Amino acid sequence: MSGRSVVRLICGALFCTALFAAPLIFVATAGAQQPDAAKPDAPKTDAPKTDAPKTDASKPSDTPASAGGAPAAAPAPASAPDLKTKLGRAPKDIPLIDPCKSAHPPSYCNVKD
Amino acid sequence: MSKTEPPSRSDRLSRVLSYLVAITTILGIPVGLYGYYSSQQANRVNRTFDFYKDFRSDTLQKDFSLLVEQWNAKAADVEALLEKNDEAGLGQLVTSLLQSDEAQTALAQLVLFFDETYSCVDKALCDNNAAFALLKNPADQIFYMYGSYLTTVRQHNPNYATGILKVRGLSKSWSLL
Repeated sequence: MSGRSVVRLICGALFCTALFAAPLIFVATAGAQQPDAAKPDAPKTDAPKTDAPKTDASKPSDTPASAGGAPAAAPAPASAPDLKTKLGRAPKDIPLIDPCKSAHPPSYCNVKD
Repeated sequence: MSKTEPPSRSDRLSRVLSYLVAITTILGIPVGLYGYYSSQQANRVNRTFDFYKDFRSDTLQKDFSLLVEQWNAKAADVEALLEKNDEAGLGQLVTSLLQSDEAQTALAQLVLFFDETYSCVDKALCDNNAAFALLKNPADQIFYMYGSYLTTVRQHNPNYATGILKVRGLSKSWSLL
């Protein structure tokens, strides 16, 4: 191979690298978005395992069964306070009130480090 | 007129081989780099998930549940104070919730946990987006329940509970991988 063809080959290789790198970067970017979308799934699968509401969720199914299995008990409660009134006690790991979402949020809600 | 000789078999073979080498190099470098950075990213996500598993472990869940239960027990009082816009009263109520040793220990454990978590994210050993997805919500919950106490302590010791505030303030970041 002559010197000119070697230069041509190197130039071609560089050009092709640029050509291939662009779609690869694009693929990498697209791949970055997929794990982001998949990340929330991880807690979703874990949540039923560890979250205390699981035990709470089992309770309403018991109560309606004893009360004749009324289908009205099946829908999930719309808000945490409703959950408390239906179960008679609050869930263990869901705070019932978020002061920062109240009509008069305390000043500490705006604190940012 | 010069007579051009047809390329010999070895010439043709060497040309094909050189093309193959070039193509392998061209494809190999970006793919290799992508693989390397992907594995680094996967390690960061795994490390963050380990923190999440720690948070969901019995010890920290007990602490978290204790704080939530205490807060929920006073839900009616909190609601009344919020309606009156009585911030000082809310602060006193929260402080009273943290009088017991158990509650203090529970809060201290959670503060320590979030300090460690944020330290990991800050030093790029853990993944920002995974921490955002998994731990921002608990940090938010702790802060809105006991934020008045935390901010009071922070007035004297600005480094206290920095982790909770930082994790609470995490936002999704764009990344190539």
